[in-house]
Amino acid sequence: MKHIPYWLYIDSYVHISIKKSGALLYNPLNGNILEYSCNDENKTILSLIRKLSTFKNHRVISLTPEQATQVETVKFIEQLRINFMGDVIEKSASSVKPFQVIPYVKIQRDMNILKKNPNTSPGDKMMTYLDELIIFINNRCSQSCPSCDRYFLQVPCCTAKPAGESILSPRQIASILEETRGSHLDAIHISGGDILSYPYWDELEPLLEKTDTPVFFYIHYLNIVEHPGRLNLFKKDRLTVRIPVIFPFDEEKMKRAFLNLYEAGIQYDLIAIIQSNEEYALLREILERLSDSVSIPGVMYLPFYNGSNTGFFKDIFYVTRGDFKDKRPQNRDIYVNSTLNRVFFGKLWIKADGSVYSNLHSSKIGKIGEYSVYDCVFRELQRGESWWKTRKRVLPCKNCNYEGLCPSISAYNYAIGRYDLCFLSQDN
Amino acid sequence: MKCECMSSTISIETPRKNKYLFDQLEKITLLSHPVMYFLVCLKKEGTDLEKWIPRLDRDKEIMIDDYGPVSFPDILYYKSKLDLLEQNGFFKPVAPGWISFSSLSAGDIENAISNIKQITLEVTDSCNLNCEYCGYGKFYTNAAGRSNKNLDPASVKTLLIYLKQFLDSPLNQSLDRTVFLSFYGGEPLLNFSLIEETVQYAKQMDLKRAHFRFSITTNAVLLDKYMDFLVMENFTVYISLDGNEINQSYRVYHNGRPSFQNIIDNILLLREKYPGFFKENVQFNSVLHNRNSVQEIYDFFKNRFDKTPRILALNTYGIKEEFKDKFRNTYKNPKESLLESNDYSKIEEEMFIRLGNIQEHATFVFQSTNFCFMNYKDLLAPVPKKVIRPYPTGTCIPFSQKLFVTAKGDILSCERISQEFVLGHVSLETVSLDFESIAQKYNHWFDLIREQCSRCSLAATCTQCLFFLIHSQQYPAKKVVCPLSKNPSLFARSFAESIDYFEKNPSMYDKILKEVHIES
Repeated sequence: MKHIPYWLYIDSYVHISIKKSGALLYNPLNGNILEYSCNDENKTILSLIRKLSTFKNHRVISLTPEQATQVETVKFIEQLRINFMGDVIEKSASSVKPFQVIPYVKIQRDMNILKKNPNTSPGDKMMTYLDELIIFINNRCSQSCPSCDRYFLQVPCCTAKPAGESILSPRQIASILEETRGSHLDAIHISGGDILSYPYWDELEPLLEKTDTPVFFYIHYLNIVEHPGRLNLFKKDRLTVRIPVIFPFDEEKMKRAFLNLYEAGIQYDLIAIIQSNEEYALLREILERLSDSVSIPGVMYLPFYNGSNTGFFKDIFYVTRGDFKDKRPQNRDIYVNSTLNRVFFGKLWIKADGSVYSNLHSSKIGKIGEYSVYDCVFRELQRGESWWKTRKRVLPCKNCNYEGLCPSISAYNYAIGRYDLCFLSQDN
Repeated sequence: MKCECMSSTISIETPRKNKYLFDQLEKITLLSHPVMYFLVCLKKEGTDLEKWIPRLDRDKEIMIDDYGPVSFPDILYYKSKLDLLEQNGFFKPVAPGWISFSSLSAGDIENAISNIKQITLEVTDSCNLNCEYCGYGKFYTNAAGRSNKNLDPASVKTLLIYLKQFLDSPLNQSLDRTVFLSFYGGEPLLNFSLIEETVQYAKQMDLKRAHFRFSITTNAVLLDKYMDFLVMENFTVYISLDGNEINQSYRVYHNGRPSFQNIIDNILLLREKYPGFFKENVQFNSVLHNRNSVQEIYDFFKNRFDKTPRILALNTYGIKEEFKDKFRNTYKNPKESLLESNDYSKIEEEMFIRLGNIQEHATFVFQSTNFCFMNYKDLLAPVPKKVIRPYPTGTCIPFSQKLFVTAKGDILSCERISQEFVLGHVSLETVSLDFESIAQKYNHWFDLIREQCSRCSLAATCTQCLFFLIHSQQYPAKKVVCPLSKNPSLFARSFAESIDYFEKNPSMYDKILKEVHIES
C-alpha cells in the first residue's frame, strides 16, 4: 500500500453479517467466507467492517495514508482482495466518493407497510401467496406402519388415527378448491388415512376436474394392492400417486403395487423414508433390483428422525461450513432466509377434522366451516407462526452470523427439538 | 456471419470519474476499480484479454490513461476478478430477443378486473372552467367532443353490480381490499346528484372481500356547496390549483374571469370548518407551465397550506399541428424548473417522490437491482435465465390499475389515454366487456411494437405507456416508433445519470428504499 489516501470498499454482492460475537463476510460468487471473531486481534478489522456496513457509508469509507498503511488494515485489504470481496481505489482517481448500490431487501407490498397505509390492507392480494394445500381427507387405515403417527410430521406421508374417525366431506373439499381458484396453486396434496377407502370416492373425481393444479395422492402400497378398482381416478396427466416406502416392507407386494399403477397407465413416484445410512444403501439396492422387472420412477429419499438416530442426522443433515462453499447460497437465498420461512411459506395443512395448520408443529389456525381459507391465510400472515419463522427470530440462530446463509427452519427442527442442527458453533 | 450481440454488462463512468459495471441480467451494480474498468473497455473494443495479457512485459508497468502505471500482477488480479464475474453471469452475450414477451389472455383480464383498485367515473364532461391547457381542449387531437353530457346514475349501478361478481369471486385474491370509487370530470361537482346517489348505493353493496372508499378530483369552484357531504363520506379530495393568482391564470371561467379568488376562498373555508379533514384528506395537483415554476408552486402551498402538491407536466402527446408553437411556449419541463429553484435541495427533500426526477431514480433503484421485489411471491420465484416481461412496453394490463367510464358510458383502462381506445360500454341495463376481444386488441397493439421492444436495452425496465405512442402517431397505426427506444450506449448514459445523482445525494438512495412503496 502506498502512503496515500484511499477509498476502501466491500463489493455490493458480498453478504455481511455482524453480531456481538464478531463479523462474517460471504462471497456468493465463489462461496468464500471471512470470519472475524470478537477479540483484540481483530479489533481494527471489526471496526472497519462496522464502519463500512453503516447504511450511510454505502460500504465505502475513506482511509488516510496512515490508516492505509497500518498493519491490520493492510491485512484486511489483502484478505478482501484475495477473496474478491472488496478493494481500495486511490482517492485521486475520482473527485467524489464513489457510490455503492448496497443491497436492502425491499418488498413493495411488505405486510407491515400495507398495515400502516389506510388505503391498503395486509390482506391485499394475499391469496397469491398460497402455493400448496396438503389435505387429509380421512384418518383411518388398516395398515400398521411402525411410526405411522410421526412420519407425516417430518415428511410428506399419510397417517392414521387408531380411534375417532374424521372425514372431510366432499362439500368441504369443494369449498376449499373453489376458494383457492384465484391462487393458481402449484400443487395440491391429498392424503389420508387410506384415501382409497374414502366413503365418498365417486364424488372426488368431479371435484378434481374443476382444478388444473397438479394433484399428488399419498397411498400406502398395500392399499394400492387391496383396492385396484379405485385406481381409475388417477388416470390423468396432472395426477400423481405418491407411495411412501418405509422399512420393513413386503418386496413382492410393493412390486405388485407398482405394476398395478404402471399397467393402469398411472403416474407415480416414491417417497423413501430413511432412518439410517444402512437403510439408504439397502433401499437403493432393492429398488435397483426391482427396476429389472418393474418401472421405478422418481424416488425422493427423505430422512426421518426416530428419536435415536441423531448420528445419522449429523452425517447427512447437520450444516457445516463446507456446505456453503459447496452449495454456494446466492444473495436471493439470503434475502429469502432473512424475510420468510421458505419451507412453510405458502403452505396450509388441512386435517380430516377440518383443522387448518401452517405447519403441523404449530398451533391450529382455524377450522374449515368456521373459517374460510381466506381467513386462515390472513390469520397466518398476521400471526406468522410458521410463514414468517426465520432464524433471526429464534435462539441460538439469531446470535449466529450464519443465520442468513442457513436453510429455513423445517419440520426436522421441531422433531429433533433444536434449531441449530449444525456444526457451526463450538457447542455442537 | 457477424453476430450482432451486446454484452449484458454495461460499463459506465460518471462525470466525477468513478467507474461502475452494471449487469442487466443479474441486476447487480458494481463499483469498479479503474484497472478492472480499463480491462472491460479493452474487452468491449474487441481485445482478447487471454492473448493480450501474455504479450505484456511482466517486469514493466502498464500505463493506463487517466489513472497511471499499473503492475503486471495487478493486471492479472483484475483479470481474475473479471473471470469470476463472467463465471457468475456477467458479460453474457445479449442478442436481439434477449427479452421475451408473452401474450395477454382473457383470463389475465378477468383476473385483473377481479382485483381492481380503482373505478373512475367521468361524472360529467362539462366544466365550469375553461383552462387554456385542458387535456380535452384546443391543444389536443385527443379531445373527444365535450358535449355537456352527464353520466347516468343507472349506468353506474349497472356497472357496480357487474363488478361485484368479480370482486366477490375467488379470483379476487384479497381480503378486505380497498377499492377507490373516484369521481372525475369535467368538473364532477356539476353533477353532484350522481355522486351522492352512487355513494349511497355503493355503501349498501354487500361486498364479500372488498370495500369502497371515495375520491374526487375537483377545481374547488363548488366546494363550498358540497364540502359537508365530502367530509361526511370521508372522501379523499384532489384539488387542481396551479399556485398563486398569476400561476393560476390559465384556469379561468368561460367568460375569461379568473378563478383564483373563488377557489382560494372555498379552500380556506374548508380548512376553517374541517381542519382535521383538510390536513388528512386534501391533496393538491398543480400543472406546471410558463406562468409558474416548481419554486413558486412549492412556496405557495407550503406557505398557504403547509402542503406539498403533486406537480404535473402538460401532456406532450397528441398536440395539434397548428398549436405546436403555442404549446411549446406554454410547456415547462419539471426537471429544468426544479433545477432553476433557489431552494433546490430543500424542495427535493420535501417534495421527494412527488418530483419526476426522483421518480426516475426510484424506478432505477427498484427495477435495476436484485433486491427489490413487488411481493413475497416475486422474492421466492426462481431467478429467470433470461429477462421475461409479460408484455412489451410498460403498459398496464387492462383494469389492473383502474377502470374508467366516460360520461357517454364508454369503458377504457385509464382516463389519461385517448378515448379512441374504448374497450367496452355500459348502458342503463348492461355492461359490454368482452375479455377475449380486449385481449386480442391489446395483443394487436403490442404486436405493433413487439419487435422494437425486443431490441431495446430499456425493455426490461420500461415504463412507457403504449397508448401515448399510438395516439401521437395517429390511430389506427400500422407500426409504432418509440422515441425512448434506446441503444446500449444511451441506456448506459441514463444509467449513469442515476448513479451520478446518487454520488451527489447518497442519502436519497436510502430514503427511496425506506420510504417509497409502489402499490399495485
